[in-house]
Amino acid sequence: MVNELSQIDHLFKELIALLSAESQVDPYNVQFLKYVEERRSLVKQTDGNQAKEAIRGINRYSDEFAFSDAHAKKIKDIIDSLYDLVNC
Amino acid sequence: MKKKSVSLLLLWLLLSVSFISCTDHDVEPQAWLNNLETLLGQGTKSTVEGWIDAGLDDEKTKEAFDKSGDKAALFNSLKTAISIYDQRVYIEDWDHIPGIEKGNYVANGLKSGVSNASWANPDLDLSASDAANFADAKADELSAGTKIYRVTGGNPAGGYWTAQIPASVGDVIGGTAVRPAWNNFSKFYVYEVPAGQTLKVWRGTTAAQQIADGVINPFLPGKAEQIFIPFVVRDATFKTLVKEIPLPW
Repeated sequence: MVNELSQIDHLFKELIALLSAESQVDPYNVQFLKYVEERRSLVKQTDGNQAKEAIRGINRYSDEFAFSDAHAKKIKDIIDSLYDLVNC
Repeated sequence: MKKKSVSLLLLWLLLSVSFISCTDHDVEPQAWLNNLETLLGQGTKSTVEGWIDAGLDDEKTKEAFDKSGDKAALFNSLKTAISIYDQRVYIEDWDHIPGIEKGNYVANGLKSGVSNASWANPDLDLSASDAANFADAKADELSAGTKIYRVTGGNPAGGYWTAQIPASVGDVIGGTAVRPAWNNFSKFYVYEVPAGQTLKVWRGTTAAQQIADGVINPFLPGKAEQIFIPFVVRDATFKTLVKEIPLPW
């Protein structure tokens, strides 16, 4: 459980770092960055279905954004990994 | 002469009552806006009035601020909202958000990802996070000439599309379970599968979705058919073939 939380937090940090970089390139991405940061706090405070719904929301909302070729696949992979961790 | 005097008196009385009614009507509803201006600073009142002029329900807005424990945060949320539908979520004006369903949200998405054996390519799998947005899903290959559609305020070449043209914003919000916080529904795109090609997609019924974090009632019912195009399919060529067209409403 502790290991899982640690993995989740690590993935969030990675995701936020990538989104910060993407926001520098395209300020439109800032709103998604903020959304992810808020859900990171939410996921830390909750578990089970609420955490799953929060990350499901991150994934669905990410579809509204176009990321650079350098980061797009990685961003998607991280979100998928986050969901897999809470989808137990 | 007497008749004329009586008529004038009646007219004066009528105008007086109208004036008093007007001033009474103006003073009472303005009080909450004046109080908000005092609390949150100059410009607050005119900003809120602007939102109401643009279609936000004044009673619901007042109610939301009255019961809010953090009026500054609510004001900021309304200010940064991406559309009037998004604002209506913040003030819980459910009656004016098309497509939503009253009742308790129950998650009905797929519990795990899906593979298609005949494609034999894990990059084409429907991941668990995307499978959760489907109540059911099957692999499909769209034939040449097939058109698919997408309503968005952002990325034209995202993964989620529909085979049918949505008739209204309600079809998008409710039918394809898209939260107003995610999409301002401002643009419409079409993609047509080129001649001699097929497009590998996942196709199925949209799963239900919460309208906002922590809100169980109402919810977004889904139930419309949707299409998901795997990331690897949406390459540079795909993106060049996505065309903007007028919104269907």
